Amino acid sequence: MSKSFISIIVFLVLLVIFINGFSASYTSRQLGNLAYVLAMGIDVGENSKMKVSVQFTKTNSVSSSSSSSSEDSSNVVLVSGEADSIFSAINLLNSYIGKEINLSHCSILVFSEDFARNGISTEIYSLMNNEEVRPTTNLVISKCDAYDYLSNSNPNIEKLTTQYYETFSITGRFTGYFSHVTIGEFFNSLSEKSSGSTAILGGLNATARKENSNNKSDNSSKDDSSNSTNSSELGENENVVINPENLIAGNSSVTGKRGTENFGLAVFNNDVLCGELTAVESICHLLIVNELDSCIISIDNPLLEDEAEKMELLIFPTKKSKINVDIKDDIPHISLKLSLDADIMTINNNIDYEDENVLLKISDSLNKYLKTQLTNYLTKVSKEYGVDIDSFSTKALSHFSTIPEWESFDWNNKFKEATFDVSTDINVLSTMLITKT
Amino acid sequence: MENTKIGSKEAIALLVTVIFNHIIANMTKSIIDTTSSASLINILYIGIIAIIYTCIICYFLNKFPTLDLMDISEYLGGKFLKWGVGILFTIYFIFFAGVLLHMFASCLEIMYFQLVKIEYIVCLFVICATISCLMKYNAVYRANLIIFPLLIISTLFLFLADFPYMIVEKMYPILGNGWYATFVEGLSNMFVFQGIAYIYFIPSKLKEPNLLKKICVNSIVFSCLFLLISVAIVLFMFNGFVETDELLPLYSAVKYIEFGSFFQKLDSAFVLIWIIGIASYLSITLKFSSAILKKITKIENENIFIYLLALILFVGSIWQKNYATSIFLVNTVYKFSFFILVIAFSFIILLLASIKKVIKK
Repeated sequence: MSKSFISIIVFLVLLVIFINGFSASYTSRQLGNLAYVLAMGIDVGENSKMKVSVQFTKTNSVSSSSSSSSEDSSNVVLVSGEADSIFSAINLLNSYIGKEINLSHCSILVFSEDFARNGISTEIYSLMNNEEVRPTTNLVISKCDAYDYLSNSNPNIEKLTTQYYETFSITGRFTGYFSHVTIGEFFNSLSEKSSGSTAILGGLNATARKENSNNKSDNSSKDDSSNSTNSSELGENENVVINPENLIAGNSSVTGKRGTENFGLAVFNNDVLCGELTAVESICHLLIVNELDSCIISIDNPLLEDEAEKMELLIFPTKKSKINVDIKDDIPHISLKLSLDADIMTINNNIDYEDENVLLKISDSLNKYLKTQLTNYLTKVSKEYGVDIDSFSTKALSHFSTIPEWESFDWNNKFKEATFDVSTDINVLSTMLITKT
Repeated sequence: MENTKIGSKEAIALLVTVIFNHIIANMTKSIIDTTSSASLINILYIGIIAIIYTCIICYFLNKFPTLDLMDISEYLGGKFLKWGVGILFTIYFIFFAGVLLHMFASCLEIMYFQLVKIEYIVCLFVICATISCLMKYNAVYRANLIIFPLLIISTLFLFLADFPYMIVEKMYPILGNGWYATFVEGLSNMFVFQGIAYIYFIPSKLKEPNLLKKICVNSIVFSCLFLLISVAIVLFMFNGFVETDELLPLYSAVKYIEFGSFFQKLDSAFVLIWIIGIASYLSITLKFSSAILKKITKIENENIFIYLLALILFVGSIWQKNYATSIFLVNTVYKFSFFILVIAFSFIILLLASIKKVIKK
C-alpha cells in the first residue's frame, strides 16, 4: 500500500470519528432548536421561591421588513413558570415551549422590587456563571411585577422590542433620569465589599397603571360586587409626581402605548435592595461618576419674582468630577468638585440675556440648587442607606499601603460618618438662539 | 542545513508565545491571587529578576557556543546526566502542556461544545500539533512567527476596547497583601516566565548563536509587557481583592467588548486567535521534546518521538478528574517543578560545567 493511500484512510477514519463526536452538539443546539430570549423577569413565586418570565419574539417575525411596531408587539411571546431556581424554571419552560432557551441575546434582566428585597446574589452569580449571558445585559428593578413590566414593554416608536431595550444604554446619558446599569457591573460590585450597587428603577406608566387597576377592580367586582364602587376609581386617585426631585418609576404622569417607564435608581447594600433614588438624585449620581453627557435641570427662576416660575437649563460637564478623599481622625472627608457649563432653555419676556449680571444671577442660582441637591444626595446615600454607590472607596484606597490596613479601616461603617465638601463651578454660557427679548 | 536553524525573530516569537499561552490559561489569576492589588509591582519585580536570571544563564550558555543543556550535561556528567536531564525536561514540557491543554479544552467545552466529550476537543489540538511538527523545514517556528503578531494585536485591542470599564485606582493599596506577600511570596509568580525553560535548548537551534543573550532578554521584556497588560486588564476591570475566580479571566474581559449594536460578542474572534496560539504552543513543545528524545537516544527518525509524545500529551490532558485538579497542578506542582528543575537544577548544571571548563583550561 502506498503512503498516500494510508494517509487517506487515516484521514477518513478521523473524519468519521470527529463527525460522530461533534454531532451531538449540533443536533440539539442547532438554530431551529433554540429559543432566543429578549428579556427575563424574576418575581416572587406564589407556590415556590421564584416565578421566572421569559420574553421571546416569534422566529419568523424579525425577518419581515414590512412589520410595524404593532406587528412586532403581537409577535412577542411572554411565558412564565415557577421553580426554586432560575435554571429549574428555564428547564420547565424549555419543556413547555419544546425548544432550548438561549440567553445569549437577553437584553434586560428584571427583578421585582419584592424579590430584590430578599437579595439577588445567587441569581446574579448563577447567571454570570452561564456562558450565554452577556455582562452588558441591563439590570432593572421593577416597582411592579417583573411579569407586568415585560408584558407592558411594547415599543412605541421602535420597530423591534430589542431596539427599545438598546435605548437603555444611551437614554440616561442625555436625561440623567436613570443610569445604564448592567449585570456585569452589579456582579463586580457584589465582589467588592466596600462599594454598593445600583440598578435601573423601572415601573408602569400612568396608562398601564390605570389599566392594571381597572383590571383588578373588574376582577374584584366579579368576586365581590359590594367592593366594585370604591375600587373602580383606584387608577385616577393615585399620587402622580410631577417634580423630578420626587420622581421615581411608577409614579410619573407619562401616558402612552408602551406601558413601562424607567426613572431613578434602585440602591443595593451588598445584594439586598435598600432604597431608591429619584430622578434628580440619579442626575447627581451620574455627575459624580462621570456618566452624564447632558441633562435638563429645572430651577426657580431667579429673574422673576414669582417663585412658582421655573427656568430650565441644559447642563453638561466640562471636566470629569474631581474627587478627593482625606482621612482625618479615622473619618473620611470627601471633597467633590464639578465643573459644568449650562445653556438657558426657558426664556422670558423683556430680559437681556446678553447682560453679564443676568447670566451671573442665573449661574449663582443654579450653583446653589445643584449644591443643595448634591449635598442632599450624598447625605441620603451615606447616612440613610450607608452605601458607597459612587465608589469613593477607590479614591480612598491610595491612603492605605496594604489590604489588611484597608480592611481594618472598615470603610462601610466609616462612610456613614463621612463629611462632604461639595463645590460646583458652573458657567452659564448663554441662551440658545434668542439672546434678548 | 540552513533550514533546520531558526532566526532571531522566530526565536523571540517562540519564547514569547510559550509565555503568552500560559497567560491565556489562567496565569493572570494565579498572579492576582498571590499579590492582589500589588500585582503590577510584582510583575515589574519578577520581570527584573527574570531578566537578570536570563542574563546569567546566557552568560553560562555562551561559554559553550551552539551547545544546549543536553550537551552541557553530557560534558559535565556523561551520558547518565544527559539522559536524566533529557527525560526530566521531556516530562516537564509534555506533562504541563497536557495540563494547560486540559484547562483550555475545558473552557472551550463550557463555552461552545457543552455536549462534546473533552477527549474530542483535546484530540483535535493534538492532531493539529502533530501534523505541524511533522512538516519539514521548521514549519512550526515559521508558522508561529505568523501567529505571533495576531497575539500581540489581540491583546492590545482587548486592553483598549475594555479601557472604558477599567478603574485604575484598583491598583491600590499599592503593596497589596503586604511587602512580604509582594516581594517574597510573590517571587513564586516567576514561574509564569516558562520561556526560560526553553532557553536552555535554543542555542543549538539558532542561526546566530552569538545573539542568544539579545534574543532571550528581548523575549523576556516582551513577555513582561504582555503580562503587565493582561494583568492590568483583569485587575482594573474586576475586583483587585478577588473574591471570585473565573475560568478564563481574559475571556470574561473579552465578553465586555461592544461597539454599538453591530459589533457584539467579539469573544469568538478572540477564542479563535487563542486556539491558534495554543495549537502553536503545543507544536513548539512537541518539537522541543522530540528533539530532546532524539538527542538522548540517537534514533535518527524524529517522527517516532513526535507520535509517541503526542499520545502522551493526549493522555496527559484527559486523565485529570476535574478543573480543580488542573488548578492544583498548575498553581502548586507546576510552580515547584519550575523552581526545582528550571531554576535550581539547570542552573547548577550550567555553573558546575563552567567551573569544570575553567579547571580543565
